[in-house]
Amino acid sequence: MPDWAANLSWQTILDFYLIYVLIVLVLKFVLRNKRVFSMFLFYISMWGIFAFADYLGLSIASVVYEELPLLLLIFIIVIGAPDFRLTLESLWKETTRQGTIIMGSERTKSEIIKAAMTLSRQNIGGLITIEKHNNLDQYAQRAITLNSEVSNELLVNIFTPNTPLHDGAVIVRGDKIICAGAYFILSSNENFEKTTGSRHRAALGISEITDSLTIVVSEETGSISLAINGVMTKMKDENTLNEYLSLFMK
Amino acid sequence: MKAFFKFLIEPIRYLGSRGFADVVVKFFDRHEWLIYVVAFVVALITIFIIYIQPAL
Repeated sequence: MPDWAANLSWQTILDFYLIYVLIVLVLKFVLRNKRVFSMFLFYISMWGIFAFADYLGLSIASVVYEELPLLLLIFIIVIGAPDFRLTLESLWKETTRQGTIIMGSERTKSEIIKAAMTLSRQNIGGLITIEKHNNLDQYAQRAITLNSEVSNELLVNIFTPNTPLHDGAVIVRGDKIICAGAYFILSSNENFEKTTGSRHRAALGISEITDSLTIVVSEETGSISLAINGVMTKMKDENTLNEYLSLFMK
Repeated sequence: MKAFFKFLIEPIRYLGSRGFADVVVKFFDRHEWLIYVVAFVVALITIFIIYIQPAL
């Protein structure tokens, strides 16, 4: 039996298995976010160079090599924190998927459309998020609880300027408005125009990390847009909005 | 001279750039199963370095 074979035992197989699982998880995690992945690649390439230098016995490079794990920690905390947070939140999107979903009735749908059209006509800003599989309780808990039936009048009233609840989102679950004044994390999507307002960015932000649909009414132009799966689509008219909502709520 | 100094850092800069990350992420999006192959190979190399190489 060769010498190296003496080092192998069942512990080696277990060790191999654990390393394999860890690498798969790390790769899946870093590949979710391009910025995290580019930082990961940069770190790995630096680590490879300094490991090689350490192997060659280069004194100064060896000192840097020993400090690299600490550097990684600082790197994660200081530079990568927002991206790591975003990536972890996209993992949360999968873990918070509910088996059963409650979607609103036809009446709820038409009330939401009526409200969106009214807000649009009067140039009142609005943000209505409809929950699907991903539970939005963590946002609702920090907002004003309502638990009231969805109605056009209530929605318009919530978003009327200079009222306590107008600044924030309304979350709809089934036929109920569960809360108003909810705040979402703004999207940092760079493909989006820099002049895009925070309401639209909030809508895009929640659509990136959950499977909800958000209706945004612009305060400036009165235009209606839908944000779903990280994509913002402008609605041409009431019929288009109706079609999108029917597809989403069926 | 300027080009020479820039050239020295170029390989690392390219590896850490968004463009390269974009290419790799897109590739693994299309061939997700290759993540498992890469992980398997890296784990094998690690085992080789830790368990086998010292005895060679």
